[in-house]
Amino acid sequence: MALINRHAPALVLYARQWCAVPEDVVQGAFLKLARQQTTPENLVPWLYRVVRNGAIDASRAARRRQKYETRAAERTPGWFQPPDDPTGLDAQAAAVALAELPLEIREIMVAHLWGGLTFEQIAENVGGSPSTAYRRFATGLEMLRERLGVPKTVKKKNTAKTE
Amino acid sequence: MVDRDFDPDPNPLCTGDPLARDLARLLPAPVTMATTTLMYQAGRASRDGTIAFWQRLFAVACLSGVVGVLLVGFYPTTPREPQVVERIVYRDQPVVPIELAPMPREQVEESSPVTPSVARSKEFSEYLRIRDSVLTAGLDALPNPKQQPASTVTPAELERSLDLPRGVLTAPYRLPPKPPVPPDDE
Repeated sequence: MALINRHAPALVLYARQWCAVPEDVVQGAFLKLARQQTTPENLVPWLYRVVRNGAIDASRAARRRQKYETRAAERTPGWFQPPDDPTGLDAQAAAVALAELPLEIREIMVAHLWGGLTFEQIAENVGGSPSTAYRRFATGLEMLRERLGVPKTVKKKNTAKTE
Repeated sequence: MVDRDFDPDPNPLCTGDPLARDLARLLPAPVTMATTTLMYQAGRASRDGTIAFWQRLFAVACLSGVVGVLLVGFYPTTPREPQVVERIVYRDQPVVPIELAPMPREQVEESSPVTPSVARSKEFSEYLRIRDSVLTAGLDALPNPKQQPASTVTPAELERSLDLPRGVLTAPYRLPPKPPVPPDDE
């Protein structure tokens, strides 16, 4: 129960990147976990991998009926809760900007930012190297920065000399 | 719910971008699926998996038992009686040359249906002599036919016996006469 409460929202958000029925996919992933004789070693990455495969399968089935990609932006209002902090990011604008990213970048950003997976774990699920996953993450972050109009903060180096 | 203490940049490759931290603070929308139903289905799936495991184990045990019974039933426990198997075996044997014994003369003469009158004739005696020579010395013992006297039949007798016109066999060969040349018009 705690596992579901802790990871289900992020898993649903992750599955939402591919298909229109993310709850069903996540539910299927938890049922598959219940059928396992032994608990997977890395449980959270295993869940994300199962959800990814299930969501891709569901999207293939859905694409036969309608074009999912063209309607991705229309469903973004349900991606995030409205933030409690009014000074924070606009949830809907962030969701729309996120939905406009390419899928191979978007899945990495969701898995890392809201799923908490490391780039090594993402690379195992998605395929490729951790550096490639990080490069795509950084590219997506720059694209979101442009679309959300967030200025890039320059790190200040501590160059002051002590007198 | 979601762990808010999560650091979005645990990887040393990540630079700790403030935008990434702000994005990570956004809470994913709450799930709409019935958690209780999901827990029930998960428990049932787990139970089904356990039952399926025992079902498979039971099936394998039953199958092994059936195979064991079949093996015990069909495999003979008493020693078998020796069976006689007939098969063809080819063996090489040395070739023994067959020596043909010469046929005795009496047997040869007895096998020929010769009447006493024929046997007394001069021609038959000559025939027997030549045959003995051929059987003894081979075909070289045959008399030379050129030394035989020529036939005494005359052409006239041959013409009479063959009903040929008279003088056909005795007339010398001549060329046929030339056909008459047709008169030339020009």
